[in-house]
Amino acid sequence: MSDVIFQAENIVKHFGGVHAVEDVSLSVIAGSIQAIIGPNGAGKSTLFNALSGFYKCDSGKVTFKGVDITTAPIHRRIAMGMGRTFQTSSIFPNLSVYDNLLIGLQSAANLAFRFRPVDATQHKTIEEKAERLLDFVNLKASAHRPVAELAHGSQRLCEIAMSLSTDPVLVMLDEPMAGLAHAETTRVVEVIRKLHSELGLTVLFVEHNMRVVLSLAQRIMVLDRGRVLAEGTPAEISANEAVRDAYIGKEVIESV
Amino acid sequence: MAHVAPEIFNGLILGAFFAVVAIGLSLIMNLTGTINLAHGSFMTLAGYLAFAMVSAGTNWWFALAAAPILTVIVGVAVERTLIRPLYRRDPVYSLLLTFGLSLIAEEVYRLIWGTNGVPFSPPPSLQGSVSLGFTDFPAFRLFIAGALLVIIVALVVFLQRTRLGLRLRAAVQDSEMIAALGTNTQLLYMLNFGLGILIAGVAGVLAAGLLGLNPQSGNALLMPAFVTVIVGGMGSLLGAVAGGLLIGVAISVTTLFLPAFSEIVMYILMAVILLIRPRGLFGEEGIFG
Repeated sequence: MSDVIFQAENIVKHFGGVHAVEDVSLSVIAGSIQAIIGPNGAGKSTLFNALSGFYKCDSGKVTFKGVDITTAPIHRRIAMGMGRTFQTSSIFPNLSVYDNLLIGLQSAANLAFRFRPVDATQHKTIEEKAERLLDFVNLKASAHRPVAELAHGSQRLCEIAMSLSTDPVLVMLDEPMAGLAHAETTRVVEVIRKLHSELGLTVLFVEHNMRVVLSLAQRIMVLDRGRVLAEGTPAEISANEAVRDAYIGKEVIESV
Repeated sequence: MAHVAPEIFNGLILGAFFAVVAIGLSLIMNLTGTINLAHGSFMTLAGYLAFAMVSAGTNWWFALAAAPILTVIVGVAVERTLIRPLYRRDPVYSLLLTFGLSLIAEEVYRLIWGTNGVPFSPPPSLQGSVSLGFTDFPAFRLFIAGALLVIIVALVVFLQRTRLGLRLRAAVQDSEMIAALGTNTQLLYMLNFGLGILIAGVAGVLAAGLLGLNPQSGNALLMPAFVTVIVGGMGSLLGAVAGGLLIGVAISVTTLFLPAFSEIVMYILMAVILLIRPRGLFGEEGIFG
């Protein structure tokens, strides 16, 4: 049953003398929701960028669907079925929600660099997909408003919809709850849960909010100073002494 | 006042050149942060290539189409080999590189085509003049005015109405996200650079017939084009057009009444506008189109 869809082996990434990621290995099981947590500066975002191709790994190997993608350019990975969001909002604020979605939809349909007009069937397919994505994240009412006008939570949902626009099987979310108010968090959590339950996607996310991590993730990896501190189910992780010392204890106390 | 009207029209044409060069510069600067100081050299190259073709007996119209395309090929080769490795670095690196390239290009043009300018006249069909009612106007100038207008309108349509245009506008806002949405950003940067050079190339051939052709003729338009970008506001297409026309008219009219000031009038204009509107006439942050 446990099909590994995405695997990273012995990933190393240094910036000058800073060992941001030191020998990290990770397996993501197809159809699961997995989380990467760790204190600030633990190397979570660096690892994420290395895994998605935004940083070049100094050493290590990344495989996706059994194919070695360690040196593959980003757009190749996206075409293979990886999607991702960023820690800082990465929508195009002056474009409408619809146009934001269009960019990814056209890439997926291989239309980005073609000059001839879209024919009627292609146009219809793209429009239907856009409608479905808008429905999925519940942004239909705001489809033609510039994203900059939307509330923070809606912008985050727009981002998630955008990452879905390229038809990914693996969605990587970098701190999806960052900067959200509590009520907005609930909306985004619901959508992430639906990615898994309704669309059957594999989700890998980095998150600070422990309540979200413990309620969403099936497996959790804890990073500390660029190394793997622990790995396991939410129950195992919350019971782990080392993790409590390094990270969770403090957070849980803060959140109570 | 009768002699002011044609001077204003001449100023508008000069300004349209500034605008078109400024738009090419902005396209490249907004997307990749590259300040292309070799932009003028590409204009000069297109002018010389067209001159060489016409001298070899080809039709002027053919040269107007072919010289910019050859220039784009050279430009894209430069982008892929020399500029691309610098995208992740501070913009100062590409600024120094393109400055060096422009110095090298100027010497190369000198070696091949001589230090002095070469005569490059418009085709017979565009010589002579057209009556505008109140005054007779050279046909070539009218043609240039029309051609530059077509370039600007075509570019607006391209940026606003095409898939690639949507991508370019989006990539200016966030190039990481555009990559995460499956766009090949290196290809996008290359096409964008090529587009900037194509516009420069067409402008270069047109300018060669109007303003003269010598090893520095393209660079002579570069400084006013930078001032245009600043006056119009970084990242604004409308601003580049408005800024260019304003500067062109200011230079022409000053030449008529106070020739000694014609060289510095654009800087005075820039200083005044920056005092009133620090971001330029239509300045927005990093957004194009």
